Amino acid sequence: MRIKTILYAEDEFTNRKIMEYQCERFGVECVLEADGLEALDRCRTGKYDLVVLDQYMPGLNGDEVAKELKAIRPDLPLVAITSDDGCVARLMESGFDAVYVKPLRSDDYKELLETYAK
Amino acid sequence: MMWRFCEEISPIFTYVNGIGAPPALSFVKMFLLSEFKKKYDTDIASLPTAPSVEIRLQPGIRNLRDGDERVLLELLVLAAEKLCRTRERYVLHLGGTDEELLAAFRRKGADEGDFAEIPPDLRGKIEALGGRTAGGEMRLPMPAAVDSPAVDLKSVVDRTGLSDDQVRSILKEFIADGKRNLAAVSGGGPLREPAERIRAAHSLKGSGKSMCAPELASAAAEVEEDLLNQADTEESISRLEGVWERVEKWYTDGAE
Repeated sequence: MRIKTILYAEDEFTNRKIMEYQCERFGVECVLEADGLEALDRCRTGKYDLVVLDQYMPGLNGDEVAKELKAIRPDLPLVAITSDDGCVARLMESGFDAVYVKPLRSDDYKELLETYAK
Repeated sequence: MMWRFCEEISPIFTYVNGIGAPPALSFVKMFLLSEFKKKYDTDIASLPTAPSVEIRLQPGIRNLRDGDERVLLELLVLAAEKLCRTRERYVLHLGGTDEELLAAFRRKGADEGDFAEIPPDLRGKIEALGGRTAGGEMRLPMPAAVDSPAVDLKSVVDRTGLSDDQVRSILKEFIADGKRNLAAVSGGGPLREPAERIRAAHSLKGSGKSMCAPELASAAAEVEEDLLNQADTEESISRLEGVWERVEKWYTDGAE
């Protein structure tokens, strides 16, 4: 069975590293980016089973990346991880399939990776 | 977190969620039921005026955060003190807007007349917990235990399911990143654009939450809010610097 690959865009090191370790636990490959614009560029050319985006990033914010991606790859699952629960409605309108609020628990990572990285 | 009072709308512990019911909600329900029984030595269902707590996540949110359980418990305790005398029901709404909440209750037959402002005595109790109120919205700070380590690595391990070694491997960069972000927030080094300072405070808040450093997260959140509101940051930055000093000391003392 092909190993799933996710792209995770997050400018904060700790969260990137935790996601990397979680992906190892659940047998998922993880590509990391720290900038929204660079994440978008990667998505245009790369093949990912799931894209997970932080909201506030250098380059482009997560909702801006999501809008662009939904226009070019409407089938691509998108999940947001944010510490700002006040922007959830905006994130859902941008095209995200789900939003998780930080900090995530072990079960949240498991659910996210097993549900959305199909 | 916002909440309102609502009469006769939903049965005990009804969960409304836009997309299914996350596992966290079941945990919260069991936690609240058991804590209520411990506190009052009685089952909620046996009370003469049946209380109701509706916990609603905004559509799209899939999880609860650390600290939410304690906040919910505090509010449930306050609710229980009132509910034994009245038929009021308390709605806890995690995230979302008033419009979404009203829309949800209109669908169940309520109208705006069923809602009331939070009574002054309860507002006072919430504020005594350290919450700040702005309009109808109350934000409660994440609790910091007395004499707790500046960074609670055990909690990070427990929460994330990662190994102790994996969590410790993150520490060095967490400290280095934190120093850089603090310098950006404080305005040290090259001249910083406001947006850069806000992002740095936001990053400190995020890493503080991820690494179970609640004081760091809370202090960084205050700075972020002051920067966003273009308020005076002298006090909040001073507090953040003090908290960061404690984090660095904890790290250099062996990170235990």
